[in-house]
Amino acid sequence: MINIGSSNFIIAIPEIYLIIVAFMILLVGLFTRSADNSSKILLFNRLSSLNIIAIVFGFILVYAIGDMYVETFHNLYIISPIIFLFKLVIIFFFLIIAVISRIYLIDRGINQYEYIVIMLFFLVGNLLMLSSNDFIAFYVTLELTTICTYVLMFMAKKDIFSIQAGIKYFLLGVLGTAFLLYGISLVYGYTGLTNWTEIRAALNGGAQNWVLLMGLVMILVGIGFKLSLVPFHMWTPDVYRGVNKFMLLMLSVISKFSILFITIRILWEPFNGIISQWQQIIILLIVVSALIGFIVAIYQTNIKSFIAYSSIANMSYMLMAALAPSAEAVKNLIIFSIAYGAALIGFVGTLMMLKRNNQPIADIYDLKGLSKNFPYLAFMLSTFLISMAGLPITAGFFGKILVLYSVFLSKFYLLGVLVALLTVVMMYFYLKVIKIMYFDSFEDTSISFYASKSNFLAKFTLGALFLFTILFVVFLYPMTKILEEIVYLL
Amino acid sequence: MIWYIILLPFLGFIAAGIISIFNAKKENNNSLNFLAWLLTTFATGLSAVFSLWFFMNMTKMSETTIVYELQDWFISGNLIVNFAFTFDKLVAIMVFVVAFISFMVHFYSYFYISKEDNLARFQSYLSLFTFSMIFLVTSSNLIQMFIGWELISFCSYLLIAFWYKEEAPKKASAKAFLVNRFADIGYLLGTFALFALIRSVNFADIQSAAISNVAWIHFSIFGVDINYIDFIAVCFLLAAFAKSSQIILHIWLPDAMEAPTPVSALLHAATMVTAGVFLIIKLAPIYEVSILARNIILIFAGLTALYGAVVACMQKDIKRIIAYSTMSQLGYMFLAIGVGAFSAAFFHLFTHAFFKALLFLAAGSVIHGMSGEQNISKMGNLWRKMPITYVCMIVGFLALIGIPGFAGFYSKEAIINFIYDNDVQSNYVIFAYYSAIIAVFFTSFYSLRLIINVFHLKENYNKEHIHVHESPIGILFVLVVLAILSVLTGSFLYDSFVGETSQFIWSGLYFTVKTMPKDNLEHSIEYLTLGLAFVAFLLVYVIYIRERGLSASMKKTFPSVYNLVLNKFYFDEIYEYFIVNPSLKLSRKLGRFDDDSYDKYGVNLFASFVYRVSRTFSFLQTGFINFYAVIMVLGVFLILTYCFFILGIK
Repeated sequence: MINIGSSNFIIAIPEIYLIIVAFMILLVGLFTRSADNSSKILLFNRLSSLNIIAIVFGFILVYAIGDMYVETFHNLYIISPIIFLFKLVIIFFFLIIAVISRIYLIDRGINQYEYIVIMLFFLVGNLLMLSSNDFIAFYVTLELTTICTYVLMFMAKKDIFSIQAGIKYFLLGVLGTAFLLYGISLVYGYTGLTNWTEIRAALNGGAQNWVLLMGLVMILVGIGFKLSLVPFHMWTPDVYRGVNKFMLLMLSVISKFSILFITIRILWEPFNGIISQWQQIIILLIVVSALIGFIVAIYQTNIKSFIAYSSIANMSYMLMAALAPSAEAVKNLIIFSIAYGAALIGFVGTLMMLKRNNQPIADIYDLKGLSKNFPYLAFMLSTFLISMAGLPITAGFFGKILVLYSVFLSKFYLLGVLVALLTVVMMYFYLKVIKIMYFDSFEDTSISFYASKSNFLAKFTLGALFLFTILFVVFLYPMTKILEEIVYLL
Repeated sequence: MIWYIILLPFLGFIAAGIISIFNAKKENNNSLNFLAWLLTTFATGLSAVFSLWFFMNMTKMSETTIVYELQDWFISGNLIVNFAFTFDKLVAIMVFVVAFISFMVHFYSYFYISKEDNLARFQSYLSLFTFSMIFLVTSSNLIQMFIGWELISFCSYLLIAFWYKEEAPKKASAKAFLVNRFADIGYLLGTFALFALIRSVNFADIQSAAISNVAWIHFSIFGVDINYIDFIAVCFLLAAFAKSSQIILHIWLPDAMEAPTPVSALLHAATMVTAGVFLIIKLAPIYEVSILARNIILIFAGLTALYGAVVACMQKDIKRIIAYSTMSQLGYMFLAIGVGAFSAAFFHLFTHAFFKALLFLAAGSVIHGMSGEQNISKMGNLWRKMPITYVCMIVGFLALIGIPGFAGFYSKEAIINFIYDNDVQSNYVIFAYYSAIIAVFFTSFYSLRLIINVFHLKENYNKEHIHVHESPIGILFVLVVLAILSVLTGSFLYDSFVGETSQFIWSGLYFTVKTMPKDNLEHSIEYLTLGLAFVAFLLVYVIYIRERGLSASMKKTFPSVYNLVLNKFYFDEIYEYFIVNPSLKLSRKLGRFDDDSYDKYGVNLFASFVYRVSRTFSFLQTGFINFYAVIMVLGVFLILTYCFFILGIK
């Protein structure tokens, strides 16, 4: 199916719509008088409500475009069943994060309406990136998302750590981008092409050229930086520790998931012909990342840096699903990402609502005695932790076991066993947090739960995430059926 | 209808359980307790009515077995396990007995359990107990039956420890549970071996698989040839012996007396101890083939019958006496199985259920009247104060001894006659015969001793503190109903269970039916047992009424025998010394070994290694961007090296 020019641009309508909304919010913000702080907060509050509604419509639009194969904008932009699924996951999680962090952001002193605009651009960047079918488009959209994250980090003006994190991320990110661009240019140098469909056709017979391979390695380095695979992970704990919990979720869920999804597309689409080469590199990266991520995580006591290592480990886990192209792998990966994302968002989102001594919870020992003060919240947190650890009947267990299953199906037995064993190591940390919440003695009752009444939606969302996590067994079968119908072929 | 039979007790359990939770939160609420009692009693009563009705229908039907398939449970290769409920006439009668006795006990409890206790909790446990037993009885395969088998262990654990705030019930419940858990090894091994032999665990297959065709198959372990069927039979015997408290595995039963009296009645009459006998009857084809297992049964059952009766003679606790009498009667049932008279065993189980429930509930009535006193030497001359209890207790004991006209006579005489009439006259059978006869003597002795001590003789209690009174009408109603049944069941049902028409009732079932028409009964045996009973009565009269000094002088002349019997042949002490203490010591040593060697050098060493690695790598997190950048670039070079030199890609 060949579509010339923009005659088919209708399939990009979700992104176009979100960009228009972003500009409208920008205009509304510009022309609304907001001199003092309270009117700024009011404006921010209203605009973020508008933002949530806009994202809901965006979700509906993505869904309405459906799961078909269409290309447009001179083959720069593509829609396929897998991209459809990826986009749904990303926009859905983005929506949840936007809902639960609305009050949190105001509380953290963020009241500029531009924040919302940048958030929307970040989402648009991710969606466009997932749809890109060309190295140029990929690079541009990736930079769009990255620049948005820099801006979001810098925008928390009162938060010096956030700005420090932003600088670190920016400087190292530039280095990563340089490698990525170098890789793209090497691939272009070998094939003379940037379009993925064409590169795939060109490399179909397989190629053993060092220029191409070096290009591949450099692209993987650039991506590996964004995915924080070892040894390009050094920025992750520092940056995660600096940013606020909203940005933490943006980085560890939205950004990570969309980069992982696009990695799968890059590996499976343009480089489909040289699968035996990239498999070796990916296995190396997975093994090293899993070793570092799973083992170093247990020493952490800061929740954010723990989540950093946890996301290094889990990215390597998810990357295992990319090893062999199959519909089964995509299905299992989607289930894993939904389960893991729900647990992570639920965990961080619940922590957003807690304060100790009027300070946000940063250390795991801040959670001491939570089970006495807030038994329900402690139980919710435990459930999310157990799900992240991958213990049975919670969602995480099924996600982990399905990914492991597809790894075994593609006959990477040793790798699967190694990673499964390492998962056990990290269970120490999750169980330690539960132990602190339930069994450690505590004296003061300074944990306070703040969630104003207007934030009913956030509470409701967290409750829904909790129910989803604990009752995943119920959803597993219908979800698998639906996914199987969509992912009928690659 | 069968769904109602099975599920009604379970619904009662749920309802009463929910009520008991509310009850525990607040103070005990009498109206809530009453509601729970009403619901559970009604549910079990309805279940009993339905089961009787169902049995009546079954006698009219042409098919002998009705199977209700519910659902596949699991399928693994050859192993196909269904959830299915099987009813044949035997099962239907058993279900009726369970439901009926349970109904009586449910009804009785309201008057017995004091108002301070959480009656709703008690009733819910009772209902669960009933449900588990019905579930066990109606199971169609060994795996499903195992659920019921375990559930009754669990329920007995809950019920024995009902007064969990005291020390003795807790220990007794743990003991009962542990002994039964130990014996479950036998059940599981038997199931596995049976599956290995006939590739099925369904009762229908066991009963139709012509076990005699596979009786020759042996398996070899460590060079020892073992017959499959013998192995299976002995394994299941282990399980059945623990549940039915045959000697050596009986130690939990006397201690279980710490439970409230209604529980004892249910446990001894219908649910727990009969499960073992029932299992063996269900597996009758195996025991018809295995001579070895039957000889083992004869020895152990004979010993049990004697042991229970002898020990009961010296006990002082009214409930313990009746408990040991249960042991002795279970010995009789197994004796019948040992000579292949399954119908007689079941008949004795049936009659025993009524008169043993009667005895326990009457004993409960006495205890209730005496405000909790259980020592028979501290009672006396109660018959004027509680006449109805007195009459009912006497009926129960006459049935137990086997006086003509009462239920126990028919079933017990049938068993003794079957042993006497047995085709094979081995030493085992002769031993069984004599132990059965002699046990009658001791049975009569302790029965009369109990009656005389409790109801006659002089008052030996503090009249100012204890105001003896007849029990409330509810308790008496239960006693009278059970007393009537204890008289009638024997003579009315003799013909249909073991007599002339028994071929008709048991036709199509899985064991060879032996019949023993009434006029075939060997009258000499009848006279012998009656004579023995009479001698025992005389002896009691002499010892306790005529010559008061005699018992004291006997104690002096034979101190060793006296102490031996008084201390129940030192079984508990032997277990304590040879099994409990050594295993405690061993486990302590193993625990220390585990801490000192395995944990220290294995687990903890590895854990601390991982922890150190984790710490080292977190120290790399210096916070300097230039350092991070260097590591990144180094990483790129390493990956390129890996690709070009190690993988050899050009």
